[in-house]
Amino acid sequence: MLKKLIIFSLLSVFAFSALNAAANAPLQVYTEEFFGADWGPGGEVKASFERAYPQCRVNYQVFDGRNTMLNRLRLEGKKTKADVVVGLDNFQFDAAEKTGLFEKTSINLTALSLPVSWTNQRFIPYEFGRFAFIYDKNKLKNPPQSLKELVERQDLRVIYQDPRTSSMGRGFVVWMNAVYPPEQIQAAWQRLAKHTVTVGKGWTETYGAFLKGEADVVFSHNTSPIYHLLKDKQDRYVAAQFSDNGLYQFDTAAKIAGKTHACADDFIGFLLSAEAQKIIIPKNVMLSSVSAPIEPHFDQLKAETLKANPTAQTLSVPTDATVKQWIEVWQTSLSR
Amino acid sequence: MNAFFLKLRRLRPRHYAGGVCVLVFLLAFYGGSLNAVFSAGETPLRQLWQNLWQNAYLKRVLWFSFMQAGLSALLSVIFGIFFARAVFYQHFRGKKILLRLFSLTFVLPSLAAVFGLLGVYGASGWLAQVCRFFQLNWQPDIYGLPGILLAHVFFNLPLAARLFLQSYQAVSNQQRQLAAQLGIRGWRFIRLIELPYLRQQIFPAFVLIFMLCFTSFAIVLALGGGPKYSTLEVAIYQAITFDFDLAKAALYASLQIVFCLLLFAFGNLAEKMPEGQLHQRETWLARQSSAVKFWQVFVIIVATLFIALPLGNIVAGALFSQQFFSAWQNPQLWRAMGYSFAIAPLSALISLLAATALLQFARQLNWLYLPFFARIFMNVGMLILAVPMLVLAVGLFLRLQTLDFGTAHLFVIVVICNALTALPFVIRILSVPMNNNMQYYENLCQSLDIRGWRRFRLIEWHHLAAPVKYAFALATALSLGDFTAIALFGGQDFTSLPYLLYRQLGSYRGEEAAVTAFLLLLVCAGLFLTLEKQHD
Repeated sequence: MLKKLIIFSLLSVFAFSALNAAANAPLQVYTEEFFGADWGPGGEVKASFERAYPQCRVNYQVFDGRNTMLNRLRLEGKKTKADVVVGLDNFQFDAAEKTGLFEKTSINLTALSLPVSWTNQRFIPYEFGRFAFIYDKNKLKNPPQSLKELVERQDLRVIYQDPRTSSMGRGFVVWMNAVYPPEQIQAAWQRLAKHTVTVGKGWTETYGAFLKGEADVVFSHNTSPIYHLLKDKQDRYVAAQFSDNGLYQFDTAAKIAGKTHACADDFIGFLLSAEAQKIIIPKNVMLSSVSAPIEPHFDQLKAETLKANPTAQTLSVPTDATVKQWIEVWQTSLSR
Repeated sequence: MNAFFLKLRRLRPRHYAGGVCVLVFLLAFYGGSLNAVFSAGETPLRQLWQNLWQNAYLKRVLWFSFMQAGLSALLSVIFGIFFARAVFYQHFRGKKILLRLFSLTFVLPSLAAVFGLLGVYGASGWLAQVCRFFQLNWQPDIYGLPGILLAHVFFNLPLAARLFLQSYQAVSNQQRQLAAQLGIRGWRFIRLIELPYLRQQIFPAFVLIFMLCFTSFAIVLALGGGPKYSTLEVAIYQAITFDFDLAKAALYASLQIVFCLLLFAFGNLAEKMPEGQLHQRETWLARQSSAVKFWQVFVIIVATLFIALPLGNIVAGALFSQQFFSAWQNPQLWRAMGYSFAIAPLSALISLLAATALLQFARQLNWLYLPFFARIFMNVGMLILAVPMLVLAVGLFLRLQTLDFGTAHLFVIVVICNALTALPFVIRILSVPMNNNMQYYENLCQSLDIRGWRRFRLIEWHHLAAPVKYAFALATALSLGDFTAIALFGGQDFTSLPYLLYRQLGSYRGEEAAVTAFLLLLVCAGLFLTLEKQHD
């Protein structure tokens, strides 16, 4: 009798815990380290999300880069464990959509406040930045006024990222091709190469070399100066204001198709809440994708960024094949 | 043929069991991973081959990879010989400490080393400041081939010097005394006495450094100044990370392996296995002319400045950092250190055991006059260098995908991968002393029937102690933290000092990064100073 009782009670415990687990399986979020590492905003966002939605639990899987993350998804295919993916940017949309892994979210896009009119229901931007060249105003008294001027000015020593290894570098290639028509781009690359110091592996290497005084201007985001202002109490680093059409990077959250986790849309929606934005924006040093006030420096820069580009166009994303061809042009024109 | 089998019959399990196990593991580990990457690719292989030979970019990349690796290795070997000779013949205070500190450059994460080099030779570096102070109208411009060569020599000169120093120490007193008696001096001494010893090491050292530079990646990108200078490794990185063309990446990786294999095969023609020599505790040296002495002191000073200045730049960066004190309170720093210290010694130990097992078998084959097979054995260990970590990472992920991974599994993978990365260097350091032990003592041990652990402890350890300690220190420092192998598994719990450094620099925390780099330098210096302390 006792035996039966024990077995029965054990069984009920198992059943209960199994049920419990099914109802409360954590939301699997793939993310890259700028969001998910312990110095990123991920931990705090998770905590306040779980407070706001007590029925949901979040579990991060952190990758060392957004390309590694996308590659992991490509390798896993339909079998992926992820429910939500945080950290893909607009230059990866084409490759990401080709996997067929992502489905539309039910997020209300009218809450977004961006320099472009956002229509993509699959990838929801939670932060953005404008590409810009950063210079030291104590050293460089006459910064370039446009990308074309930067290319022509042989006295400027330039550092940017290698498009073969860095997503920043890819952004720069896209920008150059947006400003120069195909018949001029080769010559432009060659003129730029004459006063390019080096083309680094990634943002880390190039920005570090710039801070060491290797170059006059470095390719980065227009938010970089805020960081120096807030953390180092330094106002010498300034983003050059260019008159050409700006190019933006949008970091997004997306949902994996075929997964029916109830918390997925809640989590993505929560990223756009003022509460989450106040955690994310200062830590990632990017601009908020909603209109709620965050912090004076960021709000001011965002207002300036929006003003610089008053005609909100839809976001155009070059296909992977196009970018590849552009990079080949870059390669051949610089290898001569 | 018959003689061959007769020789093989003289092998005992204690000679080959360990070596064969390591070999099988290596082949399965690397072969399995590469194969997985190949079969995951979508492009058919034949089409790839056709594209390969029409690809002008690839040809240029290959040509440049060869050229810069050859030049870097040549320069490192030449300066390594100069420096090793000077250090061997000159006695000065702090010589041993200097030699130990020289090993530091070799284990620094390339990012830290590049910033150290830029701090000295860069546009606003120390050299430029000195020039400005003396109002010289000259600005150092290190980007391009000069920068790449500079960095590669900075990394590899100490390694080369260590290897050649072993050769100089191998010249016996009797030989030196005899040469002095016969009046063999100057160039003739170098040619007749030293060169035969150096020749054992020249080609292996050249090949090792060539491979390191051939697969160099971050340095070439940082100091190359543009796509004009890229290595095959960049093409592999691009194929995986952005193009996600796995078949292409695997093909490039195989190409790299084949080239390195050819290099080894070529190298084996020139390589001579060491012959037996007498050993001594005190080294006897003939008197030197003052011109030679002057020249050698000059060489030592220049080489020391060359190596020490970039390291000094890293230290200065930390000491003048505004966050020198607050950065130490960062819990991530201590956690990173914890992980580094958990992984590194374990990897180093595994690396040492694997190398000893391989070398044990190789020297036995050599003893049986089968040097060809002995070399094949060693080469498999060295080929690890040619397999890009990123390709291995994808392969591992594909192979192990079905398992449910916890932190413990990832820990094991990291330890094994780091151990394997250090293996080629451990093999290089231990091969000469292991072989020498065989030549001197095999007959003695057989006649006295000293075997196994007793033989190791009583006979071999005396000559192995110093190189083993050095190899252990080097392997530990090398294993402090590369997690590329588990990048795809998403190991968020892992962090290490080099990794933390990279992330701090990647999130505008340059001041803290300076302190992390300093700590890393300190840890490595501590390793080399304490581990090598007891001997000599």
